[in-house]
Amino acid sequence: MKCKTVHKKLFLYIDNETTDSENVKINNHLQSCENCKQLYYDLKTTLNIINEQETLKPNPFLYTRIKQKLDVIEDKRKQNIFVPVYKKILQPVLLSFLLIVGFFFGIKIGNTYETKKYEDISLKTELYFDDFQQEEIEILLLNE
Amino acid sequence: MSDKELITGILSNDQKYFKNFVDKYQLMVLNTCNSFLHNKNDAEDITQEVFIEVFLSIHKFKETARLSTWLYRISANKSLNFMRDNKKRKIIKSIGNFFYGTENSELQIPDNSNDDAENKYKQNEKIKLLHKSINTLSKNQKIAFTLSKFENLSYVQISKIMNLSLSSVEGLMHRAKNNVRKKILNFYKRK
Repeated sequence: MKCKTVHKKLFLYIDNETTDSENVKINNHLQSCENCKQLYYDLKTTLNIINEQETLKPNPFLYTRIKQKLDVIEDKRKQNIFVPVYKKILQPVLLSFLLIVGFFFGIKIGNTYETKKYEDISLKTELYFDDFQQEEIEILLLNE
Repeated sequence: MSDKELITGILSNDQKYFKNFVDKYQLMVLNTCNSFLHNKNDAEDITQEVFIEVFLSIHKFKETARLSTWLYRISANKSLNFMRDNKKRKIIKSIGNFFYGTENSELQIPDNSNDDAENKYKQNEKIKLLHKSINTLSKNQKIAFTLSKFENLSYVQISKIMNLSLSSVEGLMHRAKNNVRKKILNFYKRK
């Protein structure tokens, strides 16, 4: 049996899930190959940790702690008894109402104030600013 | 007190029955959670969560199923959810540590006074390697592997807990063992 094949079968070999003929081949290989033997040992000791896992002891205060948490949940539930009604019904209704009011209010404001059309704004009405009139000294100097 | 009596009692909101139920099953739930989480404090926290879930949803329990099967299922799901959330918390914490420095800056000096220090170090390394190898498995492989190896449950029991066929569980276990083997052997080959 090749090293690669042995590596593939190692977990099953440790779990006694290999056939008798495979067991013989793997045994023979492990006796002749130091590298595979070391890997087998490493894998086995690592997997053995599963069996060594500490069994936890019961906690005498567990029920009291659970009861405390359940009481908190119950209190919250009582406090929030109207929240679903508000969230599921009142909130969307209020939001839709505000949107509709806002929409019509916008139309109303838009109709109340009329803006002047572009043609009405004549250039004649605009006074050009003639700064020469303000600068008498400059005119005087120019005339001279 | 039988499971049926316990369930009827809890449904009638009798605290005495719920206390008996917690006392009867806490060891099983606690150790199942510990098999997934490998941490006593976390396992105790999740055990509380499991019993709270049971209390709040006992009316959904079908009497045709076994109570222990239902408890194993809740314990496994709660533990895996906790692990997933914990992973997110660790990532956020590591980002925080990157920008603001590590919170735990105390220098940890290994206790070399003990002759077994090296052995302990090697043992811890193996424990970490095993847990890391299991944690890299997919959700279903992890549940099947943990329940089979740590809780010594049969494939038939696991198939009932996971709501899968026996052949699916066998397939999951085969792949899980292969993946764990690969991870462990790769680690030792690189050394």
